[in-house]
Amino acid sequence: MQGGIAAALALSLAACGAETTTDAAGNVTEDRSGDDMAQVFGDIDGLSMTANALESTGLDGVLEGAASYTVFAPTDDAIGALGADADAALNDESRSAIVAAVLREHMVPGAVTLDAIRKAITDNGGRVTLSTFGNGDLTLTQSGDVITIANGEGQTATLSGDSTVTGNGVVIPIDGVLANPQAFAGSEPAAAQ
Amino acid sequence: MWTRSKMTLAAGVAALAMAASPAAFAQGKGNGNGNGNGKGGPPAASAKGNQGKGNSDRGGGQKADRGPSKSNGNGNAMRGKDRDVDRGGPAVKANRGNGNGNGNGNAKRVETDYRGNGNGNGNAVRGNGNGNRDAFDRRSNVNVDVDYALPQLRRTFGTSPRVIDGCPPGLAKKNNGCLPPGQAKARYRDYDPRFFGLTGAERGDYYYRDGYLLRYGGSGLSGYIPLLAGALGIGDVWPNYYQSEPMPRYYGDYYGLGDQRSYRYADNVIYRVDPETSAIASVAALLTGDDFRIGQPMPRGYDVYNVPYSYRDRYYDTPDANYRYADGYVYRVDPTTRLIQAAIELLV
Repeated sequence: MQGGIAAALALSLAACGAETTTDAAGNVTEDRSGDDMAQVFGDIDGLSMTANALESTGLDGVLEGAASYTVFAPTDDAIGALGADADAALNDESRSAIVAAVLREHMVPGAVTLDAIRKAITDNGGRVTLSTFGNGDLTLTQSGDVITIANGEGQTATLSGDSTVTGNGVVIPIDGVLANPQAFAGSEPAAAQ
Repeated sequence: MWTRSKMTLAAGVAALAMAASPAAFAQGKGNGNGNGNGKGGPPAASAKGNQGKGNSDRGGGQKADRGPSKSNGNGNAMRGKDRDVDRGGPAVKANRGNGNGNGNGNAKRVETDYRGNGNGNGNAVRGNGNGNRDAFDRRSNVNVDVDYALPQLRRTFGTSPRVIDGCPPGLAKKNNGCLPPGQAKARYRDYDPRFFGLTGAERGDYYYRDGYLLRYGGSGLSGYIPLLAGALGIGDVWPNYYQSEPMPRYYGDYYGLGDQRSYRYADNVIYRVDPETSAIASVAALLTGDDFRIGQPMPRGYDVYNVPYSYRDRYYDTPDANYRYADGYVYRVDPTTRLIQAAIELLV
C-alpha cells in the first residue's frame, strides 16, 4: 500500500488484545474478525442503546449468521438527543416494529469499511450511495477527513468513533439517527387533528 | 446507468409451479470430464477440501475462473464453496447427476464460479454447448431468464406485501381492536408502508397499531400486514394466513435454515421458527429486495466494495470486474457497463 493514508497507518494492540488500525484521518478500526457481530456489539462503548434495540427487536439474530451486514450505529448520545418520543418507542414493546424499521435504515448488506467508503467516494466523484434493508438509501460524502452520511429525508450524521470489523460485518458509529423523529411516533392521523 | 428498483418479496402468496425450471433446461448432456488440479482456496475452505474433480463438462480443462487471476484451486472439492448459481427446481435437481463431478444441463444456464477454481474447472456456459439457450454469455452480454435463488424467491413469494383481509386476530380480541375508521384512526398513527420496508403495497391509508400495519380503504378497514418485531416478533406463533413455502435451496443452505418447517419468510425477512410450535425463534436474515438480474444493470446503492471478509481474497475489484455482495450472493459487475455478469453463490 502506498500513499498518505497508508503511510499514516499505525498498528497497535488495544487493551482487549484486538488489533487496531488508525488511518490518516484518525479513525480507528478495531479488528474483531474472529468474532461475529452479535458477540461484539455489546462490547462497544457508546453504542449500548443501538445494541439493546437490536436485541429487543430480534434483529441481533441476523448478526450471528453467515451473512455479512454493516451497521451504521447511532451512538447513545445521538439517540438520547431525539427526545422523549424516541425514548418511549425504544422502551415500548408495542412499538418494536417501528424501532426495527428504523434500525433497518441503518443496516446495509456486506462488509463496508471506512477505507472502502473513502476510496469509493473518491472514485465516484465525491458521493456514494448504499442500499439499506429499509426503504431508503444512504448517501455518503466526504469533506476533509469527515464523512457525512445522509438518508435523503433530511437527517444527516457523521461517521465518528471507532469502527469494528467482525467476521460477519462491520460496525461504524455515527453521531446521529438517520430517521425522521416523526417516524418514531408516526404522523398524527387526520382524524385526530 | 445505475438503477434503483426495490421490491418487497412477500410472504407465501402464490407458489407458482414455474418455480421449477422447465424440464428441457434440465436435460444436460454435459459430462464431468474436467479434473481440478488446483489447490484449495483460503485455509478455512481448504480444510474441508479434497481432491475434487472439476466441473468442466466438455470444456474439460478449460480455464473457467473469471475471477481474479491469483485464484486457484478447485471448486466443489471444497464442500461446494462458490457453486454455480443455477440450482433450478426439483425437476432440475433430478438431473444434476453427481453434482460435483458431472457437468449437466442446468448448470449451463449461467456462468459458474467456484471458489478457488482456476485449473480444470470448466465454465458452465462455455464449457458446454448443450442446453444453454437461456444461458448468460459473458462475451456477448446476452442473458435470458437466469434462474438463481433470488428470482425463484420472487416467483414463489411475490414482489409486494400481502395485505390480509379483515382485522388482525390479536387486535380483534381486544376491546375495540378494529374500530370503524373514524374512531379507529384517532387511536393510530399513520405510516407509509415503505417505512417498514414494504415496497409496492396497495394504495390506501395505513396505520400502525400493536405490531400491525392496518390498511383502510374507502369502506373502512380492509386488511392488515404483520410486521417484523411486531406481530412477527420473537415468540409469536407464525400466522397461519402466511403460507409456508420452501425457500430456494441455496438460501436454505446459505442462511443455514434447515428443514422447511424450521423457517418462514415474509417481506424480505427470513425467520427461524420452532418446527413444532411455529413460534418465531429468531430473525435469520434480512434481504434488501433490490432487483438484481444477471445481464441487467446493477441496482443503485452498491457504490462501495462490500464483499464479506472471508471472500475478499478472491473477489476484489479489478479494472475488468467489480464485485458486490447482496442477499447471499456476490455479483460480478462490469465496471464500464455496470451490467451484472454473474451471481456467485457463497457457501461456507
